[in-house]
Amino acid sequence: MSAQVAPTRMALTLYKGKLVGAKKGYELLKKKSDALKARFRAIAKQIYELKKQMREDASMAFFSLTQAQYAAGDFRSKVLDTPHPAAIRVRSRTDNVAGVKLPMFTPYGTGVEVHDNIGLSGGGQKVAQCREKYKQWVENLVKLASLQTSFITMDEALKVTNRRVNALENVTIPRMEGVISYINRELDELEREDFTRLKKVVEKKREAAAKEDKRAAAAKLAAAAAAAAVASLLDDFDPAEKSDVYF
Amino acid sequence: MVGTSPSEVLCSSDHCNQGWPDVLTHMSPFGWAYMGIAFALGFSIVGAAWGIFVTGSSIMGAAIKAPRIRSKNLVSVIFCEATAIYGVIMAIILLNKISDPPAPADTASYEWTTAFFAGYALFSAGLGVGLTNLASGVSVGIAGSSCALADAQDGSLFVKILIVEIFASALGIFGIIVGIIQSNSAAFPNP
Amino acid sequence: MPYTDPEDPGDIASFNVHNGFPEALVRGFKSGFLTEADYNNLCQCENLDDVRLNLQESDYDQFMSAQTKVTPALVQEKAILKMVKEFNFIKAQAQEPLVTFLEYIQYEYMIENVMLLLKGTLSGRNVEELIDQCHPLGLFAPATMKLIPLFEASPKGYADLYQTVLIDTPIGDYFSRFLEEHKPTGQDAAGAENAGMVRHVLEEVEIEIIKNSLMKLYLEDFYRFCEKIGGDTAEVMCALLGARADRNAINITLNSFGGPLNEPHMRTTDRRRLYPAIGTLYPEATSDFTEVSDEAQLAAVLEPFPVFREIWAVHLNENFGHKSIDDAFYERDVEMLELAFEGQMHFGPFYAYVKLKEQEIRNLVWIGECIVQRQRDEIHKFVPLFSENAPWRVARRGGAR
Repeated sequence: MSAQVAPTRMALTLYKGKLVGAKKGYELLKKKSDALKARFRAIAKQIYELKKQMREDASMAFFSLTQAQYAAGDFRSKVLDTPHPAAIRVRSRTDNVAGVKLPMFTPYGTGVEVHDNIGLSGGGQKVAQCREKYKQWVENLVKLASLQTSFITMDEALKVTNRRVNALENVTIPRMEGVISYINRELDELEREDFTRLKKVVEKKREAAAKEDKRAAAAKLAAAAAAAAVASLLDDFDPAEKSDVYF
Repeated sequence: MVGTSPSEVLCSSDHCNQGWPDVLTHMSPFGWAYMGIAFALGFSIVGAAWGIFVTGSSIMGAAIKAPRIRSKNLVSVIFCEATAIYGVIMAIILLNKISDPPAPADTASYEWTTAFFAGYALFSAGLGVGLTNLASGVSVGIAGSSCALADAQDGSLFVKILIVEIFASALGIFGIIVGIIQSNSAAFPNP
Repeated sequence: MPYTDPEDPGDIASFNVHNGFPEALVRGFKSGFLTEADYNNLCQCENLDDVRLNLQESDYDQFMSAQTKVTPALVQEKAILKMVKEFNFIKAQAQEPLVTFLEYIQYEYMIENVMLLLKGTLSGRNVEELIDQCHPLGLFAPATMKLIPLFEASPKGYADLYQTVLIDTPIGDYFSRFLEEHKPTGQDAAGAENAGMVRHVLEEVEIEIIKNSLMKLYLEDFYRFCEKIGGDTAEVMCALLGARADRNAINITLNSFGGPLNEPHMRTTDRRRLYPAIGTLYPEATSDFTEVSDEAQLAAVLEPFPVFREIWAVHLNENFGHKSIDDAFYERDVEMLELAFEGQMHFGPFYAYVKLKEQEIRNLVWIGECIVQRQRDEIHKFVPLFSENAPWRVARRGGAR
């Protein structure tokens, strides 16, 4: 690993910088992930509630259709054949949760009043009831669609963030730490090598010095001997005698 | 006769046509008797046929969805048939009352009064039986038709409505009883 | 020898000559209505296959044996086919004037079908699909059926359509009278003008309004026909048709509240035009209806009629989970239709048979839907036919005690 990294001090500083960045990123992403998770859970809960409610609403809506058809006969084709402008439309906007863009759908009435007189000669009330129930249901359905889309988008975003967090936590940071420790190790190694080398040099130097000393000592001895000889000479020397000798 | 004066119409002869009373009095008693027989038989059978028609169409239709009624409800047809048989019986009884007419030589000595009495009696007996059986046949038929429809819906109703039919059938019997009594007193004199 | 008077079905002694067989037939088919026990069994079913099994025990027998999957819609379709088969069998045995009478029964479905075809074509739907959706009791000759949806949206196309619908179908008369009413003033009945008119009406007037206008004309016409037949037929049928006209008038008024038909200027024109000119409500109450604009006023108009007062009471209690006004009308219909079978030797049973069969099919669909949608509590909210436990019988027994 990271064999390519030159174990230099510069690389070390670089990687240390990177590690700090990674750790910071990790913390931030972790925070984002937590925020998303909280929102995600809230949405999941809402979806659960809404779905539970909608199951009842749906069965009521469908049953009211049955009631209407019992009272007014089969009016399917009449509805199909009289096209109306939509009475409910869906507006889409985006919500931003921790940098994740969530599509939000909101239903709104277009103000189109539907008066096609279905079931005029019987069952009109039931048809109206049925229409009300379905309208409510459609509104809930839009709400659910909005939540569900958020849920999926959120899920995707959460997965990506978690992957990033995990990657940072389990791959990038350890790797960087590895690199740093490698560099450190290499540097230490180098240091130790240097030290040894230094020691060796010192040793050598010392040896050389010792040798020098010895030699010096020897020289000194010799010098002393010589000096003795000189002294002896000097002993013989009489400055007064030899006033032309200067030291 | 149009345009002729009353004096020309009226004639003094005994055999002259004096109007409707003449027709009644001048018709042969044998003619009356046979007409009575014809009415008895004819009307009875018309009644029976009508009844069977009315009943039959209902039985046929009702038997499509409820085939079990088909033999039981033949009783209704038989009741109708009975009125025809009353007519036939009556016709035979009346026929037996008629004896041979007098020979041409004996016409003067023949008891015409008795013969006329017998002729009228047989005629009215026959007509009475015919009309009562006609009415009886139609009413049995209508009751029978209802009986078939009712039986097809609910089997327990059959006997109850059959009683109604029996009463309708009894109407014909009233006629036949009175007819027989009526004709009993009548006898053509032997020549 | 042909009938001297084709409108005379005969009296008690002669009715059976021509009509005894069909009448016995229709009564035979009447015995095929589901019984109380059948309904009880059906209500116990867990799924639609059980329903099918139970129906096999009844007069319906094997009517669904070819189907692998049972749905309420399929039950409805097959049950209608069975009814139509029986109806056609009766019709095949019928003579005049019964044939005309039976055709009058069919006109109602023909009106529905023509409306379906015309509107469906205008919104560009497939012809075959449309014809499949038509009620089989109201089919015309196949050629005409195909011709109606094939018209083009051009003046000539509309003229052709006018020709087809007005001349080739038995209900053309109602259409022409309806168009006459909607004709802008000062126009003569020339072909091109008519074509334009047809176009105007088809595109502008709501399908339900056209249908109800035609139904009004149809009911009045049928009523007159029954009056012409006379005798028990007139007595029974006029009561039935009158009840229907009353129901329509009340429902139209009630259902128009909150809609454009309730606008003051529409009340006296368009809404008034929909009230049939027959029945117990005509003419006093229906002319009052034109003034009515909310439920309280409608209740006030209905106040003098005990029958409708009762039905209105049902409507007021509807929110407490009881029956709706439609249920109340259905019950009244069934009650009256059952009475048509009480007398013999009139045409009432033929009409009553078709209408009761319709109710039975509605009941079947209701039960089927309730089973599918697991609405056990609601399953008994149908109107039983020829039942000792029918609400009105129970009420009467209760009253007698």
